[in-house]
Amino acid sequence: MASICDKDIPLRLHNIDAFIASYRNSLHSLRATALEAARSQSELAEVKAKLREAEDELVKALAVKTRREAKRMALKEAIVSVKGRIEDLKTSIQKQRTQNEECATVVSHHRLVLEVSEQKSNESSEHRDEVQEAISWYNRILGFQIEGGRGVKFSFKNINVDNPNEEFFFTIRHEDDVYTLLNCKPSVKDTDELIHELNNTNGLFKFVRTMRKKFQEVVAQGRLSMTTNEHQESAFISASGPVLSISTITEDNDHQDEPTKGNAHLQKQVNRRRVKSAILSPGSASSVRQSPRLKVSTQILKLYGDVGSTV
Amino acid sequence: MVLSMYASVTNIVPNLDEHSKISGYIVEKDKDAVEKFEYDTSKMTALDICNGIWKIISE
Repeated sequence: MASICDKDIPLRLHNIDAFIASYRNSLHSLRATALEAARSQSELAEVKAKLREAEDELVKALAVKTRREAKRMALKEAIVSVKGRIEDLKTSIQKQRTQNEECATVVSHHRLVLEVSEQKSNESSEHRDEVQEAISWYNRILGFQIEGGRGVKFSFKNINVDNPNEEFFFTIRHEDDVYTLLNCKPSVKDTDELIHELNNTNGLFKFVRTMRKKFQEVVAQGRLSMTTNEHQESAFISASGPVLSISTITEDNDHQDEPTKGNAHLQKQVNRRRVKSAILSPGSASSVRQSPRLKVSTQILKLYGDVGSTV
Repeated sequence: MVLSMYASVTNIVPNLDEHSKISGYIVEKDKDAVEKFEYDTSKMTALDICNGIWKIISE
């Protein structure tokens, strides 16, 4: 029995020593592991912090990316919009150009029309001058004037030899197909009959000529009245002196002869060369001396022809 | 318009080119004839010329 205990005790001590050594080793290993774990914890914390920072950075980056994307989209839309506007402007420019061309055409046309109008205006002015010249001829040479207004006023001069500038006139009004004598200076006999005839025959031009004759008769009547007075004086004188009376009668005879002589003089001065109606044909115009003034005469002839056809 | 009335009343077509003489044509519409007249202003007074023409007109 003693031998068994002697064998086990050293063996057990040896096991205990081994165990103690193993425990010591294990403890040492655990300490190392703990230190390692602590270091790992520290590193983990750092890494977590870094991760959090990285996440923040990522979020920021994403935000920036989103903003940039939005901006890009906006720019894209803006570009599209601008391109569209450019197209619109091009279309508008083209339209404006077309309108400009149309306006230029219209302006050119108006310029031509204006030139033609100016030319016509000049011709019209020239024509008016010629017409005025012709009217002036009638006024000056024939002492005859026509004025429009309320009715038409016909005036004559060169009727009273003693006062050639004395004006004799009458005014005719034509309304509802009836002629009316508005006024007449001086008064003329038988105007009612003349107006009646005028309304029957519608011969205004002949009426005007007749009125001038009537005015001349009025003046002649005036002179005849003076002659009558002279005759009375003559009769008065004859009671006392027959010789003087004869002398007065002789003077009367001389006075009567004088108009006849004057008429003969007038007859002599007129070159009575009868020209046939060939003068009225257009072909004969070339045979007559050509001049700008002849235009008015030709126009008067045409007017006269028109008036004739109207009658 | 007014000119045509002057021409119709007087039957006269004046010659506006002559300045030294008064001349023109008297148109007789009924007879379809034209009669020429001419007056020398140095030999007759304006009054006589005027009445001479009117006398022919009124024939």
